[in-house]
Amino acid sequence: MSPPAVPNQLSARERLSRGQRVGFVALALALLGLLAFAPMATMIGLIAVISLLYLAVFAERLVLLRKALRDPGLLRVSPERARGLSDGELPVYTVLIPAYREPEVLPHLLAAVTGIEYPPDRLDVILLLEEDDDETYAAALAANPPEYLRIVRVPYSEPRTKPKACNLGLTLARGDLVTIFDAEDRPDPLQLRRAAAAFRDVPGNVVCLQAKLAFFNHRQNILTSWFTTEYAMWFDQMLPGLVRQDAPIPLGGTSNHFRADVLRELGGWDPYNVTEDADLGVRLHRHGYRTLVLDSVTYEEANSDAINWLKQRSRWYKGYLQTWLVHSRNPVAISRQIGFLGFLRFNLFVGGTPLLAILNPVLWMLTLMWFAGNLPIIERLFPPWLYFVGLVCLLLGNFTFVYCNVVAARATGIGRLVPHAVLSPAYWLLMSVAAAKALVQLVVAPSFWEKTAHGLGAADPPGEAPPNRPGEPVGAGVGHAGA
Amino acid sequence: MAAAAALTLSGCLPRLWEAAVARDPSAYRLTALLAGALALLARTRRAADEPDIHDRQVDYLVGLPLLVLAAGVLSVPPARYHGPFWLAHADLLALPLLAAGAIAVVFGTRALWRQRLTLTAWLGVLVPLTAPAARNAADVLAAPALALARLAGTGLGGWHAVASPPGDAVLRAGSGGEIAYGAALRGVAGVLAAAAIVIVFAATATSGRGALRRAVPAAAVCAAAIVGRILLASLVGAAAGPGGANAVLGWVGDLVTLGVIAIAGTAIGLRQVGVGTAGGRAPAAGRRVRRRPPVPRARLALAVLALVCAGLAVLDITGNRAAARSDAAQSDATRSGVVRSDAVRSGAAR
Repeated sequence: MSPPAVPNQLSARERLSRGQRVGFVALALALLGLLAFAPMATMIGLIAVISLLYLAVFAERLVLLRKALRDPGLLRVSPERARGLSDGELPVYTVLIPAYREPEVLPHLLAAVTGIEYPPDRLDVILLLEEDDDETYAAALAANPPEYLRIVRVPYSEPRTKPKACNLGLTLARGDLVTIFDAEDRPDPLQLRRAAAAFRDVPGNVVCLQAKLAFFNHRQNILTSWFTTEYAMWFDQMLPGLVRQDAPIPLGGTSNHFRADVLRELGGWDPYNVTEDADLGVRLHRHGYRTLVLDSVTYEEANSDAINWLKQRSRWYKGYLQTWLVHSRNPVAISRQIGFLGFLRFNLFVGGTPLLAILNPVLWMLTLMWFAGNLPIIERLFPPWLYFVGLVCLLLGNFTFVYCNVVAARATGIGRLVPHAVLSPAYWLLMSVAAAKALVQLVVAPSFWEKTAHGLGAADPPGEAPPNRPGEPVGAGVGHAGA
Repeated sequence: MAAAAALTLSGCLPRLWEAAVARDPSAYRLTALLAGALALLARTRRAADEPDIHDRQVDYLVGLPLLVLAAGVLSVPPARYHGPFWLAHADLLALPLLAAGAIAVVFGTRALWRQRLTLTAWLGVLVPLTAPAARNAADVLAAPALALARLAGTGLGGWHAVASPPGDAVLRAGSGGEIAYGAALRGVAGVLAAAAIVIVFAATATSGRGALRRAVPAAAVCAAAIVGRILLASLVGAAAGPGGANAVLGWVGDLVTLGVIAIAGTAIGLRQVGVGTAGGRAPAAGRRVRRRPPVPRARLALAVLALVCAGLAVLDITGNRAAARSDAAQSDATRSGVVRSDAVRSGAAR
């Protein structure tokens, strides 16, 4: 079977379409012209547009938070229901595990794989290793993997990305359902059964279930604390909120479960997009398919090192920018497919996230310049009508984000996350550096995959799981948001 | 880096030197600069568990904004605060920012992260204090040392106290003259300078306990130097008269005392990091720590740094010269005002 392929017009192979190139050049020329003839008015206009963008994002986040708090709308499958399915009722499940130069995490990987509660004869685990990754290959062979685990070497070709390896895995997959785990993941042992049970009950257009991700090393340092809070906010507030809004869901990197036939029909993952998961989530939505959030947790290792974190986050932001550019190539078509409101939300969520992180330092600098120097130019840039909008952005906006963080931290039940969440503006500084790096890389190396190092001193003591994470959710049967 | 810093500060160093010679409380900043530079050197060693993960794009994305921020310190606040900005030596705040940016672009963000506490403490001790605030702080910190000076002078030399204004102790040594101890506690080896040394030295540790382990010996060395100098001045005064005591307490004595503190502090610092001792800390080892330089090509960074430093030097020299001129003009005006009022008074008396 030949590898699937994403249509060119929906792939990040080309950074910009011809229309986008023309549009950007025209916009740049228009801006330059305006700056030349009416510099102050143009700058004021730009700040006004940015302020409106901020206000829209704040409002969107608050709406998502409200929706998620009122009804998280998670798909819950009780352990009894998950275990109650007979072997005959369970489909063959393919688990794709792409890895690159990670021999040190193989023992964890094998423990996680063998810990999955699923009939071995219905399990098809594919470990995808790059052709030149002899160290991980040797370690995998030496670890005596179970029979249902296949080791596949991915032949060398550009781009060397995770989605390219996953596409190869998809061509070899035997399962009716497919999921992806990273090598360092520790999924809920019942996750496959829960997903299989959920797929039996959800409407036919629901072809993807995103399990929740959390971190086991949230105690390691303040960075892992912030990261844990951010994930809690993402999977407990943002994604459920998006589901409730019927907006495109940017999928997380792992633990997303698909119907294999639909995945093949869509062409699999875009090998040129470095957040192929987010892109796939949007493509699914454009084709009329839906994603729901499964209340089952996969624990991962939070990045504990700031530089390592910046590499990872810059890849995510670059991928978001790629996804945003790809799906904005034909605004009319996407608006028809997901609705104008959906397109606006897509812009705010997928485009707005990295763009605001890039713009933040500029506005912080302007604020600092005002307080430090009381410069007349700042006063002229913010006429009274804009000054108050800016003030709302500064006070209400920052409060909104800190508040969302604190709510998410509080909801995890891990006390020490709350004071760290109050300090989250320092985390935004890191996000801005990552966003700037993403922008630079989008220009110079759009499909370059920034590899994240794992195993940076992350201990995994038993009982590290956050107290009220839904490892074993209460309630029987399947229910989902607004179905 | 030292040359870059010196170039950048070429505007304010002469004024700080004048303050050191005049024993102005602001002279402690000269010591703070030196202490900060030594503390940065003390923190260059890689930790054993430091990940060998580096990123030149991140180095520039972190370093360049810090360099811009350093330039901003010398250009934005002066637009609002004018002369007082330079007179309070607020321009020195640019130095830790410049150092942070330079470390990031030349040695990498990993090296900058290693220096985070040291740089923060350095920035902290360089925060501008107004002249009265600096004087009050110095007076409070100097009180125990001055009490000791009175005790030593009256006990060892048999002198008697003439005056004890805040921050000073003036003793009359028989018919030979007077000895004022206060100036010695305001210069580059004074109490504020000692506080700056202790704070910056403590910040070279990465834990609270480690900071305490470094602060205590640093404070002990500084206290010993200050007390030893007072005792020495009293002894020399008793033997050779007030001239000898004043020589010990003079600005040259300040420099000698500062040198003694620097040598003792360096010896303690080297001992703490294990240099030259059999029981020193094990060399960094492990899979992630290698001996190769993490930042292989820093020529572009050095060129950028040289340009930034030249720009900062121009700003610093211009600002400090203007401030010095206005300060001198103000002093002249005050002096002529005093002379005029004296003339008026004497005329009225006639």
